[in-house]
Amino acid sequence: MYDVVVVGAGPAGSMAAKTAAENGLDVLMVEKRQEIGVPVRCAEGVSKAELAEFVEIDKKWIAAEVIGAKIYSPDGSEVILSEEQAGNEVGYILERKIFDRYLARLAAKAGADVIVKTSAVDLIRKDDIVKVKLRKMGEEWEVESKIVIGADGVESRIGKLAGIDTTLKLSEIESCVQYLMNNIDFDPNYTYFWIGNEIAPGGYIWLFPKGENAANVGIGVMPAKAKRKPKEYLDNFIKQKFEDGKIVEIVAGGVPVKGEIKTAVADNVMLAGDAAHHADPITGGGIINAMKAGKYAGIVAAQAIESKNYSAEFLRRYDMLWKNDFGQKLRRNKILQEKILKMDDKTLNKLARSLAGKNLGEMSVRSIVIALIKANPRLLWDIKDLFY
Amino acid sequence: MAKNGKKVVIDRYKCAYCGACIAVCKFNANELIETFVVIDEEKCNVCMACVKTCPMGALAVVEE
Repeated sequence: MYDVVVVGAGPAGSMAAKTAAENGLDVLMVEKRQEIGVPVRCAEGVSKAELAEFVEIDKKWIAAEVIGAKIYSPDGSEVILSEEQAGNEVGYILERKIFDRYLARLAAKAGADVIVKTSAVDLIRKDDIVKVKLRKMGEEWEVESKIVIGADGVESRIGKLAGIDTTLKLSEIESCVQYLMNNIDFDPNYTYFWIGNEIAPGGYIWLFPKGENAANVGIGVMPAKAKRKPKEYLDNFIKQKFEDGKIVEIVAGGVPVKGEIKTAVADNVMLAGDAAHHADPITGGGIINAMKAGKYAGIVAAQAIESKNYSAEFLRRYDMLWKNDFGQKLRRNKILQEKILKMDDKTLNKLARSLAGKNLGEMSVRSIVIALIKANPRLLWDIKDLFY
Repeated sequence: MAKNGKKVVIDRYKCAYCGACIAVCKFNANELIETFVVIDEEKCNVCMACVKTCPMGALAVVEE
């Protein structure tokens, strides 16, 4: 009998397994893929300061560092967010293939058992505990556990098996394609974003540097708004901007942009990361929230084991923790997203032009929106209270 | 289920096994096994959510 079975070995799962194991629990982490960390489904950008709160930074999994962001509206108006001086990097672009394995190793080092090429296919609650049915290479068996942490990604089944409906609507997901490109020209100190209803309906195109003349160039579109597949929009964009670029990797993915969910717990079960729709509805970023949530889930698992209480009621402590930390931001950015989704390209151009030539400093959604509200009070009056 | 003789098929040459189709299926009619998406035709209601979501255009509806 395990204390905790963690399903999924991404950043949320590994942080949960690591934290639970460090608290003395018997932990099993299962990963359905045969290799942890691949295939990647991510643009790999992360805030430097926030990441440093969790792990000692190791250059082995840092592909690039950036000092800011450049955002382009449909007519090409540029908005820059960056620290005043170069050498003051605020963001990392990770090498997720290596980073995810590193985190999984931390979990293993802390004492968690890890098995790969293994799916969790069913949960059966019995008395106070859960039987988790596992399947590896065609063979099925059961393990017993007091708690299950579902960190099984955007396609999470653990939530549904436990009675939490995590199905995303077509307006609650970004459909994404990304190329790792070589032989392209850009300023490697910046991440780039292109917005507009023509180029990326309901989403945006990004460029995240990954070293000399190499970058993740990707797109997210909202299926409820897009008329074509993200790949077509991205190919069009690349033909115009980076015609000579070489594509050395293709990545696809779905990013939950639903915003804060009511609860990420059920009896014996907690969900973390994309499985709990913890990704940000505006940026689509999810790594830090996933790591935070994983850590909180590990902490609450330890408390639950100590109190011998695995009920949803007890596990609500976990909801409290993640909601107090980043739930408000998910709510706020969902409202902002809905506001932006209604804007036509003319409005987006007007907003971008109102900030053109200014450096907004801090690279955050809040700093952009506050500058936008100052320059366009009437247009954004209804959301101002969310940002002050 | 009523499907009017239609079903969802997957083009494995296009699929990038990202799991987006699983995330939008309210019938739990699909599963991503490592890199292999399987569709359970019994459960599938041909609602098109997965077809519209697939980033790669790997899913399509065909007449049976």
